[in-house]
Amino acid sequence: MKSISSHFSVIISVFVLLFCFQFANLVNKIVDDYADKITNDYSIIVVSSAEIKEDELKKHVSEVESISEISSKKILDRLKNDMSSKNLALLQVALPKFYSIKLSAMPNKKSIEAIKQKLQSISTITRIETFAKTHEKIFKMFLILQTMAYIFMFFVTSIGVLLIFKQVRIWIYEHNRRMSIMTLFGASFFMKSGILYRMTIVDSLISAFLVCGFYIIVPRLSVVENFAAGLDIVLPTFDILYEGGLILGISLIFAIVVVTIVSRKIGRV
Amino acid sequence: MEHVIKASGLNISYGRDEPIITDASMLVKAHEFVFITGKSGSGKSTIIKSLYGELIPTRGDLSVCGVELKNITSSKLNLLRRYLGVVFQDYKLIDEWTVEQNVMLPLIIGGFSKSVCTKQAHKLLKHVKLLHKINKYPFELSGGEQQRVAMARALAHNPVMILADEPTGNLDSYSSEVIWNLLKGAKEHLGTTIVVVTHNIPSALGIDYKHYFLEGGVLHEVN
Repeated sequence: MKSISSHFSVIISVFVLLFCFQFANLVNKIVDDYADKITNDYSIIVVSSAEIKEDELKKHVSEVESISEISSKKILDRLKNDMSSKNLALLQVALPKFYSIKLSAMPNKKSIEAIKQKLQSISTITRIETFAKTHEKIFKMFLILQTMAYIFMFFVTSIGVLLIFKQVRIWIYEHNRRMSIMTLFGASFFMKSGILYRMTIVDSLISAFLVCGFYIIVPRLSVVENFAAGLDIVLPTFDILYEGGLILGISLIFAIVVVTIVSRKIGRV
Repeated sequence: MEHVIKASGLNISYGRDEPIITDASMLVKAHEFVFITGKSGSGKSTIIKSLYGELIPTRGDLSVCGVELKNITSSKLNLLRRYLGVVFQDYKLIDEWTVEQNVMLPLIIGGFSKSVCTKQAHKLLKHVKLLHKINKYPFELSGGEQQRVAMARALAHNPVMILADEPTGNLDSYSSEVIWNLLKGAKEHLGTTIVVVTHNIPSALGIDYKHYFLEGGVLHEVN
């Protein structure tokens, strides 16, 4: 019973640790996806007296991803019945050009101001519309959420690390007599600590599999899918090969490092 | 290697305390049977501890099995200990291991195969008349039985030298006799060097031995 509870404390601590790590990944992915989405939806409208070429514009404003002309056909169609075709032709020539500019990344208030100034420096541009307020708020909200998630994960991870160190210390005290007897018969460090390494590695592997299982199964549950859809969020799929391998690797490295540090510190018998 | 132990001008102390052993010199040839006697607290166990490297002398020269113990690295010390068999007064058996596993310990450390370990453990446990308790744990044995297991463990890897710290100190006459016979047998049949720390040398041992007497931290050879 005592042995099971000591295993549980390591499994739970490593699980929490890996869970937080993967959760940070997930939050990052969701925020990046959402930022991409907003960036795609977001555009700056400019009015220019002359044609703007994309290459020229990019030289002035590096943040520009693409530029597309907004057709004036609709405006002219509306005026078709009220004006003569001659006047309509004259108006078409005199009408300024409207452009929609897409940016390469989601801008904040500061960068929108900077982009606006750069655009203003182009002499042919007569008017710029940036819609700064709406997007600034959404962007800030995401940054706050991301930061809060990181702070939370930092504390949880710290507690997890402390718990694991404490548990391995307890193990070492429990195995101290055996380790000291083995030392008297010439056992090497790794032979003495072998049991601890085995226990921690097995517990870490169990935790890694549990975390992988959680992130594979939970996003596929219809309740979670519906909830995410309600928030207009697409939950990224768990990459078993890359993310699973990373979690497995982290758990193994963590187990080996923790046992080595603690047994070197205490196990000098 | 003519001398298994070469010690000269040894001072041994615990930490920074006053030395318990001062200016001790000792020469032990291979295959010799050596007794170190002395009153309680005279430092007999301290000498044994220095011979297997648990205590490093603060002064003087000490070599065991040709290995200089001054400034010895932990890997070299581990290697040296694999050539020694040590018997402790408090047995030092691993509580969570069975009798068989305890006897196999030096063989496991020496990297022997499982079949060799098992065969040797069975042979030695038969010698110490504990084969029937092979799967018992140390806490299920009497003091005498535990010491016989410890003796079997010390002999398991055919060590160059056995260091025994009051091996019969707490034992009944039967267990004491088994221990002395094993030590005698190891010297006679395997050529093992034996160094025993004890209060009393058994009268009917029937072998030649060297005798050191420890008094006031000073080691004297008794002729």
